[in-house]
Amino acid sequence: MTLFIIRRLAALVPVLLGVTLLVFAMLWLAPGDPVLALLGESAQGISRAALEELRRAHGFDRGPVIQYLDYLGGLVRGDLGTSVRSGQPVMQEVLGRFPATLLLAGSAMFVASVLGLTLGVLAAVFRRTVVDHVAVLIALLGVSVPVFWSGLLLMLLFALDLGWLPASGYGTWKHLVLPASAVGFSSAAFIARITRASMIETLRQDYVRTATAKGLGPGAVRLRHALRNALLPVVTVVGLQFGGLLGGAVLTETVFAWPGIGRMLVDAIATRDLPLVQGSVLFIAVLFIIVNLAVDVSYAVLNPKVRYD
Amino acid sequence: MKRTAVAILVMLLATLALAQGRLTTAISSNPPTLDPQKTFNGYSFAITNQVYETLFRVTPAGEIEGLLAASWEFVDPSTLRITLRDGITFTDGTPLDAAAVKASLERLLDPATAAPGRFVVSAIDSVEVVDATTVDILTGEPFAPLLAHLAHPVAAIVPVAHGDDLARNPVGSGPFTFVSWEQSNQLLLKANADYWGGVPAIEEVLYRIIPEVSTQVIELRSGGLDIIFNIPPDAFEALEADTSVDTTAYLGWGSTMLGMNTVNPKLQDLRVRQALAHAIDKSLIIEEFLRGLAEPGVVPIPPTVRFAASDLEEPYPYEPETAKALLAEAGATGLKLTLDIYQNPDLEAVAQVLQFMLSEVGVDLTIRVQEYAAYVEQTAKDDIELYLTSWGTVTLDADYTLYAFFHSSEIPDNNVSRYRVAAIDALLEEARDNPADSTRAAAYRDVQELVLADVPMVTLYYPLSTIAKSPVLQGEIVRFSWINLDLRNATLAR
Repeated sequence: MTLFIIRRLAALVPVLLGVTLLVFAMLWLAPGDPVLALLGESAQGISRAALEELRRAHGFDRGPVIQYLDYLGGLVRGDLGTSVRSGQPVMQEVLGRFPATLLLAGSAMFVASVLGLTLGVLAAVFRRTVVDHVAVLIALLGVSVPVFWSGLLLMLLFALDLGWLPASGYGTWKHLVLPASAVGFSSAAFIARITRASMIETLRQDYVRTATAKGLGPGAVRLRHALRNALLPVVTVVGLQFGGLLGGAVLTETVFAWPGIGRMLVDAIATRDLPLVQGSVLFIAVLFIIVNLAVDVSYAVLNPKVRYD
Repeated sequence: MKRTAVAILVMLLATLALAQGRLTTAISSNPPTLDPQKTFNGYSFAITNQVYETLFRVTPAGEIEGLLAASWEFVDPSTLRITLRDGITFTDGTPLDAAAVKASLERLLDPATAAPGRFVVSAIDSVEVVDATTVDILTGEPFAPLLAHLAHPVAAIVPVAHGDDLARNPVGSGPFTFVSWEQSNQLLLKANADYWGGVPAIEEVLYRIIPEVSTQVIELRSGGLDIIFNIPPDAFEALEADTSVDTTAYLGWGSTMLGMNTVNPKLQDLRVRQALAHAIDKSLIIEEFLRGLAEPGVVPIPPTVRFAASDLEEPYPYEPETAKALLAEAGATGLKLTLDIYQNPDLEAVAQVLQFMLSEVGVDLTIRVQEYAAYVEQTAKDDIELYLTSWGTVTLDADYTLYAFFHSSEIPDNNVSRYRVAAIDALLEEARDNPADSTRAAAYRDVQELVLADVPMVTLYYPLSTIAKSPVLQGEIVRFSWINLDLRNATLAR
């Protein structure tokens, strides 16, 4: 197991190298000048000579290979560079947004897991009844409704009409309720569908019939025997969704003015802030890989038949 | 027990009092930095304009007044002598004197600072201290619009000793001082208790960073925000109907123009350019697509800008038949043109209307939309035909726009129309060489008349900017742009 974890962590190095190369190439190949993108259309009136000077000052006049190698050099020394736009260290910018991202991802996954598992189990146990249909319908809504719409509806209802919760922002638990519910609801939909399918599959297994035959009640059979075995694919989905959310939920962060990583990354891309884009993507990639590793390890815990040596 | 209750009550009342003195507003994006010299970003300027001060500024009536400057004179056309207000200090206690002004402007001009807004003050050659409160600002050549350029937010006077710290811990001499900044979430300022112009009545200003306009509107209506800016036409219409909200639409410094490359063979003939001008129904664009939130344009600068010849009448009213006749006369029937624009929802909508209007007179228009940086590269190419741009005369001085668009030295940077007329060059230079307002006004009027006759561009409209606020906020002044929100005499009546 330890060896497995070490091997997987070692695989991080080539993956991350690939990530840096890909991000660098994409930003380099995209049309337009990085200095102009940085200034935006508000800098009308600037002369070409002044632009040249800014290009030199930011080192954009050097060739792409030199710029890339320079970046890698810094990376090896643990230096993610400095954001072009804000002049602040990239590490500080990314870590500054991470608590908000982690909080939203964590609480959204909590909402999603509770809601998704409940709906999925109910749908499987009461298969082809009204309960099943309603659960599937809720799941379908969750997948289909975009968060920028459901988010605004939640705000209209709970902030404007009822006045129970603040419409947007970050700071107290009250601020967390609406965005976590909006994200959680759409993630719950996936979890519910996977749980349902997996539960139906498991409930057909021989050992479930055996458990019932030896006189266990329906609750014990379904929750202790069937659900635990049905969880394996569900854990994968939860892990992947959580990993994805750690990369920032851009739409949710935008609608609810949540100060997470996603919005920062989108802004950085729009202004061609290469060091900030590189740093954020690297950070997100590392998190994603670690979450995936954790999912793999959890298989062994959930199912003793799975071994990694 | 009783004492605890009293303490709690006092604390509650204190919080309440504080909340009453706090104005909450929103900006759509996290400001990249709070060092005004290191950015050219409106979200940064919205904050730095509260914390720092410039030597001059433009009054709501469009005149220039001294802010840090008590008095000034051009001792010769290339030397501006400024006497500073006496006894002003930065909020760290250091004096804002002649030496501080020199150091600040030199930092802005130093290429090592990499100031994106350096171009605004690049006319300045050197700054010299005369005595403790007097500085001379020398320009290599006479530069009459200098005062207006020194009123630009990038020219704010900063205490240079703070260096890179200004980015996150700004220190200025303005009516508000910096308290805290949670990145991408919110930024808090408090009234400067030592402000030379009198302490503002509003005790705190909280800027919440809310990217989505719909969210800002809900926050305003549910009491989470006191004032919001730049509301798009649809949402603004809804807010106008809401009696609990005060709305204002005001003319800023912007203009939206359709430019024509005057040396392109397809557009060289004046009659073709006149025909295109006659084919455009400006009021239709304004009523149908901007919901009335614009005024029809004639000269390239809106009436808010100094020396705008706003009394000049539209020489090319909407007359599709005249347009067709002019095109036929010029032998330009079946004309195919390309319109270059950058990604911007307003411009894209306007481009489509233009496409329709021009098709009515037999001109086939292709629209090419690119991201801003790529669009700018396109405008540098000589085969460009038509371009659409939304421009701001941010110094509120005619020179900023007229010189950029029509002086031959600005080809192809800003003079994308490649418009080269010796008489106009001479007039624009005369207006720079002579600080007297009367001379400048006459020169700029002539330029605007010549440009109207020659049609290197059609000014489509001057957009209106929008504000929606809670009626509890009174006395605030917005000088031509939301970034110039003046709260010095504002009050909150909660």
